[in-house]
Amino acid sequence: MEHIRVFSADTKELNVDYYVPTQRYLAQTNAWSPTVEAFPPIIADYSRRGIQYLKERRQFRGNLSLGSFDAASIMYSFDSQGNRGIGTQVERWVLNFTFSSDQPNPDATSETFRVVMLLDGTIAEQRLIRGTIGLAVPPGSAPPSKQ
Amino acid sequence: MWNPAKDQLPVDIGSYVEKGRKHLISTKKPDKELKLFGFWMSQNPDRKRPHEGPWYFVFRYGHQVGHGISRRTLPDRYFVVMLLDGTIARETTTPITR
Repeated sequence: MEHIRVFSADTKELNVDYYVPTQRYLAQTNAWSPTVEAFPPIIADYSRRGIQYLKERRQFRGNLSLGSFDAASIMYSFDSQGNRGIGTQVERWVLNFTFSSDQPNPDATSETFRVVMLLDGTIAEQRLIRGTIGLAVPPGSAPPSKQ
Repeated sequence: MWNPAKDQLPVDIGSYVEKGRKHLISTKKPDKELKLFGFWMSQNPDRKRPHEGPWYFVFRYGHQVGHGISRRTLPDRYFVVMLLDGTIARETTTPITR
């Protein structure tokens, strides 16, 4: 399945890219026209989903809450077969949730508490290019409960 | 105030987008159509106290050039900062000091 990059965090310490399946990106449910439609009332619900998602993947201490939220339009060009290339430009909206904990997490990085989604709630897969994300649950182990 | 753990966001973001766009048209008088490229929400610009103070928006607008496959955009040219109740923040310019 083809994937497409919808966000990248590139700092001195680390580089993390966020990918979604291309077919999900192309879905009309991820389009939003600010002058025509109301923004869907999803921020609070998706914020709770994001916290649950992180709880299953990070060994953080404390309770998480939403720190900031960003919605950004991005655009890629696709040919008539739906592959990346010269053709029709498809604009979609990407949501970026950053959470924070009420307790210190010394090994956390800027990406430890980030969840990237499409407008339809598809959560983007994190791909580490360089550095360490921090507090990751080892593969195959159950998420710890340190709440 | 807004508690995202409990409450839906109590505003119509689309109407705020339009309010911000009209504000820019009247204050900046852009010569081309303004398009929204994104918006950011946070509770406090002070990272040491992230969960204090009112939530606010930063709306980002820019110009769109061309249409269809030749469409290009010049994003992030204009910003509007707005409180949750729709109050638009006054913009001030401070010279860079070295």
